[in-house]
Amino acid sequence: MKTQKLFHTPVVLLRSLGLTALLAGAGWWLAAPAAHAQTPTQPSTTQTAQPGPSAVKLTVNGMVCAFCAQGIETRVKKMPETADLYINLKQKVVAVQAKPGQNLSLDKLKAEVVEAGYEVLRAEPMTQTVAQLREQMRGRQ
Amino acid sequence: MHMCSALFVRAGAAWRRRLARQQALAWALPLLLGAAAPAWSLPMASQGHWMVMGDAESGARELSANYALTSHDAFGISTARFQSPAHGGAGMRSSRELAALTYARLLHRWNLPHAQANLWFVGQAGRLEGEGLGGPRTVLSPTLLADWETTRLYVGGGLEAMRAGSWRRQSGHARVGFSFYEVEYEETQPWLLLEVRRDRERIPRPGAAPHEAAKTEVMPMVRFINRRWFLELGARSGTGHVSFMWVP
Repeated sequence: MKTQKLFHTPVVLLRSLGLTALLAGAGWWLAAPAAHAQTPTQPSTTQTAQPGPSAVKLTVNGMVCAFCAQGIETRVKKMPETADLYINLKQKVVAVQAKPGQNLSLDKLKAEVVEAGYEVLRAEPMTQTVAQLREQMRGRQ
Repeated sequence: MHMCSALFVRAGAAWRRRLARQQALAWALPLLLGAAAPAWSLPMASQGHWMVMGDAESGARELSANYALTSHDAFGISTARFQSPAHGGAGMRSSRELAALTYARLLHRWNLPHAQANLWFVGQAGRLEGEGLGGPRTVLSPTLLADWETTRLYVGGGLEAMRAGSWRRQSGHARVGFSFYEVEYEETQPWLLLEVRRDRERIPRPGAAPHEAAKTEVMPMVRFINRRWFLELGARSGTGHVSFMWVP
């Protein structure tokens, strides 16, 4: 990766000077430098070697009104892997259930909540389902 | 080992002091600003959404809509009709009509362990028409809003200035409120609020010193809030007041 980055700038310079042919030997690398730049640093949600959890619980600071939480709900529900969502304002909880056969990414979920304007205190996989958590929390109140 | 522990203790104390300062600031801001502007609690929706807001009482109507381009910025339009004290005598009123472009900006948000506090800027630029203005005037209006709320308590306030030629208005409002009980996220939550509002207006008079008028009003109101809408019903100076907000 470092070697690729090291050579990236000179390669771009040479290409801009019309000397692309000199680098034909490294054609595989020249073919799509952008693709090399996009090495998989972002975690995949559904197709990683180690699959993510199917249910996740986030503890969110600042989510105190239904109107605020609605922004989080909209974002998380737009994620293609989301099947079910439970929000509890008092307990500061956002719980997400993946669709059957799909997995969730903790980082992606955290990023969505942060983008909505809130602070994620904790993000943890759940062993229970969102439906079970909903029943448990409603029973507790 | 002892040195390491001492470092951790010192870092923990510094972090606690920083948190305490942030919490104190978040508490103090609404109280410091404590004073008017649009009546809604949040002036914009989440990113990528429209928000429609309305306000109506005897002699005054306001309807606005804005679109949140980012999680911090929303652009929109606003139209209002309201009455100003006329310089002809006590009790006389002049009607004004406003049409403006609006910009709302979330200046800062504090996400606290059990609360949220916000500082907002709302700017308006447009045209104001009405008696005594000498024709349509360009109007500019900057507003600062602050709020602090938990799931059961609300404190908010704002300061608004509006200027069109030599006509000027300054308003300030403060609000406190509480909800009767916690609800599930999907349920509608009722709140009881009390608003104190002060308006001061300077009306130009041809060939004479400007007429100055000021009034202070107190308004109790109930608010019903759900995920995508809220409705407020109140009464002040013997007339009813309705506000609503809706995210389509």
